[in-house]
Amino acid sequence: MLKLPLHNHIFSMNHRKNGGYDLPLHTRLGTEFLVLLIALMTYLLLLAATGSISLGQLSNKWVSGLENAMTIEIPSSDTAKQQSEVLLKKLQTLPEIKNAKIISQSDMSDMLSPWLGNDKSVLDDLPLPVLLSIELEKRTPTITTTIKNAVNTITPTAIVDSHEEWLVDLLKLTNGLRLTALIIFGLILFVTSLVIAGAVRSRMAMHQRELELLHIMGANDKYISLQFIRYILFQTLKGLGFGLFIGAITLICFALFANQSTGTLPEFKLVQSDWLIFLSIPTLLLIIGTLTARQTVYNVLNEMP
Amino acid sequence: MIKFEHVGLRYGIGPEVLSDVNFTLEQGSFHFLCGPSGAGKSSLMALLYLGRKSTRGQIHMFGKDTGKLGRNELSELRQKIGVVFQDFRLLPHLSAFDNAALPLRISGVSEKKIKSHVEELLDWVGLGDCLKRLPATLSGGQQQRIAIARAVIANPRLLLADEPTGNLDDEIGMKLMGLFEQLNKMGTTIIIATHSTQILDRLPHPRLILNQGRLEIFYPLQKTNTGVLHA
Repeated sequence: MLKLPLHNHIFSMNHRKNGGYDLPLHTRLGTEFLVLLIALMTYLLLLAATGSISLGQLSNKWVSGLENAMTIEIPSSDTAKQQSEVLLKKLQTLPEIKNAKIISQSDMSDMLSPWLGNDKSVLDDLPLPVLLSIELEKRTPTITTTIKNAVNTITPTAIVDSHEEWLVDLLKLTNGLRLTALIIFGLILFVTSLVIAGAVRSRMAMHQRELELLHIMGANDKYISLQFIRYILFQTLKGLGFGLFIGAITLICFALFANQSTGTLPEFKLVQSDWLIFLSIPTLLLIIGTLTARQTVYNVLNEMP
Repeated sequence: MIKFEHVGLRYGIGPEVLSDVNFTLEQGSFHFLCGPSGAGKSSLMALLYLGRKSTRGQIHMFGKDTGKLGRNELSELRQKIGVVFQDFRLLPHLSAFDNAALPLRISGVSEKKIKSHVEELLDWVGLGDCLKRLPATLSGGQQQRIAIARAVIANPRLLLADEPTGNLDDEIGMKLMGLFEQLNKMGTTIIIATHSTQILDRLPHPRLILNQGRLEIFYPLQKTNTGVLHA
């Protein structure tokens, strides 16, 4: 039995009437509902994947701004300016440091303007610290320690802010959200599998007599399951088509909105790995459809002698 | 080649519909299955076409103990059995051609061979011009002939028929009995459940008589050329 390859049995029966099914699976009987549910699941999977990708891009944007940056704050004193210049010279000799500079009075004024207004003379009366901004080639524990040692030697009262706490909290938040998106993704796949199993079971119950007949005539479980696999594959493809179409429209709208942002949000741009995530959606749905249909048919047939 | 040993069958927790059935049928034999309604004929047929499992005893078919076979082996065994159901059990969405072709498709025969075999057989049973018609558009007799064509198309080793001529006129009925005789001569074991006295009188094959779940074998007397009756 079934001497031809699997794909021949699934895809080459169209020359026969009734879609090539021995069982009346070409009749509608609730098929639209299954297609609609798969379309909805596809759409939700696309949204979950988009959410995960957007969060990734957002965290990358935020992290990349802080990841290789450090700030040194020298408290206001008579020697603060002198100490900052010595420290700057020392830091500039380190090869791991890409750029180091003392933040100018003008930049400080710009930073504080939301609180103090645009009157720069106010700053002259305030005991403002001297700030050094450092941009690293790449953050490593060694360079962080080296910088802290240099700072301790030259200006023991200075505070080194490596932004690590911010980074850790930010990454925790975004990773948590991405994990949630992944769990939602998995849940949608699980529900899709349940929906397909239910559809196959109800179809099998509807065609119990025909199934029994095929069984009596010697059709083995594989022969019967291939008919259902083929049926589910075609319904899944239809649902995928609808779901992907609506999803694509939503994504385009989302990308247009995100790309109009003033800079707080990252530009929504898909890289190769993102496309792979999107491509995995139809692939996963087709695989899940096939496996679920097969297993459900085998389970039901197992109850026959 | 078919051996029932102390076979019993019950549905759920009800009484046994078949009790301690014992018989052996040789390959190439021809038997009628008789008995009043409710005697257990359909249940015995179901056991013979492996559509049910006995609740006790052993059933050997084609040299194999069916109780020890796996699902795929049972399917292979079923492919060697042709069944004509009393209610035909044609698939209503399939054409006459596709209904008759079903056993060959299940066995993985090529479409080219299927076409020639099915067309030839349907032509032989007088349905050569009804290949594309759905069962609902055919008369009871025509449907029955498709059911018979479907049962014999794959040259089964065992042919089971439940009242196969019930809806046919005498001429076609006897023609089909001739087909069964022909298949039997080619080595197919045949069991036909029937009430038709006309058939039973004309064909003196042994009878499996079921009564209240118990089975007896009866060998009718045959007329020789000299007019002497013998068993």
